Amino acid sequence: MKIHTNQRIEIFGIALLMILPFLSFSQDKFTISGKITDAENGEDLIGATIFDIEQQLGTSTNTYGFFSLTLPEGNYKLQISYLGFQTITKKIQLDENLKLNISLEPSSNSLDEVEIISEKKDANLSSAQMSVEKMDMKQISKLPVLFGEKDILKTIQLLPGISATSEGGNGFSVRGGSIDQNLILLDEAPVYSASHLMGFFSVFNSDALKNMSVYKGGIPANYGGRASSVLDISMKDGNNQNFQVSGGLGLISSRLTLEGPIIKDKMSFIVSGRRSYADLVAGAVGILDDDANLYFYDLNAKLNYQINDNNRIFLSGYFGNDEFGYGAMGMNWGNKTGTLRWNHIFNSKLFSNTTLIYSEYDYGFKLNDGESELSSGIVDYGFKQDFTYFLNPKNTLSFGFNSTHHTFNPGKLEHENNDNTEILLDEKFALESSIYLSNKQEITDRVSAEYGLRISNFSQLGEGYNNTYNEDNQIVDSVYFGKNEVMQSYNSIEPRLSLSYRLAEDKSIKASYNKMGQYLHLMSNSTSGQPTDTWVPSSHNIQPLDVNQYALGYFQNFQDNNYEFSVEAYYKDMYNITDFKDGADIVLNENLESYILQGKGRSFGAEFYLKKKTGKFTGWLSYTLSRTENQIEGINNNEWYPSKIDKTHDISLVGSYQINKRWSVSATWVYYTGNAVTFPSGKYEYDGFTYPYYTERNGYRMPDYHRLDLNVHLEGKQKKRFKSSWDFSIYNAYNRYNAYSIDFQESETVPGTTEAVQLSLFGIVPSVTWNFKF
Amino acid sequence: MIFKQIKNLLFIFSLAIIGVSCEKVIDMDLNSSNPIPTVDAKLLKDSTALVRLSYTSDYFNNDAPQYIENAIIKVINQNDETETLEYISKGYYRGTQLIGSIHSDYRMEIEIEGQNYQAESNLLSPTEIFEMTFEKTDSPNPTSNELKYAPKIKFKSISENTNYFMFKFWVNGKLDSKQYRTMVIENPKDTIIYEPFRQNFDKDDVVKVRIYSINKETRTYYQQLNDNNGGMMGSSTPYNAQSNFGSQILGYFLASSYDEHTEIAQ
Repeated sequence: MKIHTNQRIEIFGIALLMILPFLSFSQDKFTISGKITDAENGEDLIGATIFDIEQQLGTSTNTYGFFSLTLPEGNYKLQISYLGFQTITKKIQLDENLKLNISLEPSSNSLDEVEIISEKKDANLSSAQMSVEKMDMKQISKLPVLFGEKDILKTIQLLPGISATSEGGNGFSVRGGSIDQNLILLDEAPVYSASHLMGFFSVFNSDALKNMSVYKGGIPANYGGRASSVLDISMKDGNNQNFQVSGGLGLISSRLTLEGPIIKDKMSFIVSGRRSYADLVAGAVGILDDDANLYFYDLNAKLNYQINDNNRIFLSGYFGNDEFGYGAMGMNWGNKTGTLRWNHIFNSKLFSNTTLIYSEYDYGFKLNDGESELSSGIVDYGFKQDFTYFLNPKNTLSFGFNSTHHTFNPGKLEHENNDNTEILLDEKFALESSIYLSNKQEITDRVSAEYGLRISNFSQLGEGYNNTYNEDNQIVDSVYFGKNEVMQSYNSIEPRLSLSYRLAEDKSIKASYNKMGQYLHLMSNSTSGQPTDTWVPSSHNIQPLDVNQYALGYFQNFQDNNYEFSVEAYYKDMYNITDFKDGADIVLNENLESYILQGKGRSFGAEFYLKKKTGKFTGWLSYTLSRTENQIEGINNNEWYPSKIDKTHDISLVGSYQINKRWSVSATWVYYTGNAVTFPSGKYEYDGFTYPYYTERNGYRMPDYHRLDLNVHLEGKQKKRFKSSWDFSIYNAYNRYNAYSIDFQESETVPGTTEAVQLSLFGIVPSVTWNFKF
Repeated sequence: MIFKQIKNLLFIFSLAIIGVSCEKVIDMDLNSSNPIPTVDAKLLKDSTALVRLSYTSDYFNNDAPQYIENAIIKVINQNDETETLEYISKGYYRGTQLIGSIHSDYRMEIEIEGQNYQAESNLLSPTEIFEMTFEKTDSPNPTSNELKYAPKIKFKSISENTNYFMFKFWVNGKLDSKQYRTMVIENPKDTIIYEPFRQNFDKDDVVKVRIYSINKETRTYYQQLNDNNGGMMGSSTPYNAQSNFGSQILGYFLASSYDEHTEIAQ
């Protein structure tokens, strides 16, 4: 592996920063460690704080609710807090290492007030991390959504810097990145296609989820493999105190969740399932006939066992599938993920998490009345080892390594009655590995930093051929590689740095830099993504994507941290972004690599965010001003052109008002500039028909988009343990027909003339959902 | 073919979900473009060449296109026999001497206002249609219970190598679709069977099928034209079909032969 001079300097700089924390004088110090959990259901509280009031030293819990705080010998008054829960103050005498497991009771006012973050109140100022948003399901549950189905992916599209790629869809773009540049993790397993029903529903059942974090920039070193963002979603562990049933009945789908203790306080489970019945509804109203299938289902399941104070295991899985069919024809697609994790506490300072990961995505078609079958997909097996070392109250080190074996099935077409035309594209294999080291450091009272380094390697493995193509997409040279031989290898050295300077108690400025490498590419001709999109590895002909991102932000809180304001500016340069030669067929194209063009891109913008976190009225206003452009040889006369996901203005207004303990109302309003698109500038006649004539790539804009959604939430009267609630939603309340696509065509009514025809998907869509819990 | 079927399926199912979708004609403000030449040139078996030349026009300009009247068009066969076409009217130029014959290569040279363009095409032997029958089928529209008639066409291969064909259907004297259906047969047997996907007719429709023998390049061009006929779901980035005359000119020179057959759907 060649390391350039500037990379050496980066590595040396990071290494020096890592060593510094160890060069402090030692004195008699002891460590308090333990877990902070929700007293009601035993769920780990992520990001809860434990804080010494007098010395102003503290820490917060990690993803598994674990904390460690090392302090000099003495007496302390510790405050343990988590938003939405009652704060506890504990006096301790620290003269030896101490184990402290704490359960927090939900605060009494949480019934009639909504809090929209879960961490400590000024975490946005004190943390070095920027460009990150964390949400729990409580926040998502009361926002209006399409068909009344609560959806984590649609909610994050309301945040600054994250934009929807299509009406009602779950594809999202982060700071100018395409949809395949988002790493979506469910309990640490990658999810390759996060959509049900052509993108109108996400695969994430909000009943089974605990919380999520989305990183747009300053991405920590433990994450890698995608160039633009990380969406890290944690499933609930299951109530380890009481058996509980919850669910909901909606117009389009219903869901049911069972959870409870197997061994109280030690072992619990959760099983959560959903099934849509759009086909039954459509059939009943005469939209579809009896031969049509149109549904999805999914299942989340998780088991966790606290073996002893130092060991805990989690087994979690997701299985989901979509079925569309008409007669003997149809298609289906789905994800399967599985994660086995082992938490081990080596000592009061060293926490370990070992993970085995399985992830699979595949799709299939039945064509020609069922005589032909087409399938494609990707399968991952991964191993991951993460350590967290709580060196002292000012330094928390994270380090680890991981390795994933990918199997790509680019496509297989089988004919029942005709062997001659069977098409089987060769499977492709790759091994992706990385190591990382990072430190979260409070340098002074005002300055904090999070810095690290990630080094990754990607090797495409045999058996297979490295083909070289000419301009006509024909193979001119081919080199064979045997099974598990390295066909092509790439490395990436990725420094990560976030810095925060606290200007005053209520304001701070932050800066970050991160480099991200991406070795997997989604072959897609659409902006929003379709189930038939195919993942392919970096190879002899496809270079990995490299992105550098620089961000600068100003953060200020008002009125005892109840209001947060931030403005962030970012600049990204991207290398080896991909596009296709004109007319490339993506499905079952054995020479697809020859149709790929690679070039560079850049994205820059500013994000404004004002949020009210607590009280009867909560919500936020976000505004993003951005520009994303590409330059690829062979496209647009080699000139820069707007990316198809480029949107100049993007505004989201989200508000929720708790009228009383039973009634709350919420509304969202979104506005964004239409994305860049290629429209014809002329036309011509050939063979008696009129065809559009295109002159520039993405030289036009779709019409501006705006929409208002409303939701009324009614809590039912509690009868013993039984709780219920109703959600009445209106999607697109003022019935605006926004453009989904615009086609240019000859008029059917006035022959010989041309016209533009706009397709709109949804007018006003009312929905009602009944939720229950006991 | 398979890719088209998949796109059709995606489109059908998307529309099924989107029962509430709506389409409307809208006003759009599109830029003007610099006009470039367009060629529609054909040389069919046993016929003379027919060419129409015009310029591109603005998209919403519904006047007749500006025809090119002063071009010099030559057709040259593989024996270097050359014919200069005569201008007729409205951009049409016609040959009178050089007749299209099978297994021949042709070159067309066009000079427009000092600019020269050149394209080549080879005229393959025609297929022979043995029969066209119909099978009853459900309507491809999931919302309809109407019975339809799907054609099944048996025809002859034209060589032992990979065969390429293009199909056009007329129903009751009217061209059925703007989409060009094409077919590729590797290692063909003597008789080829074609059952077009989602192509069906009503009872007693008079159906005419015409099968053109084409080569790989021609098939690619007509597929590109299909892509221009409304990419499914607006997903594919639009582009201009690549002319065999080169860049800064649109259209195609096609030398071809065909067979056709008419049958009543029942």
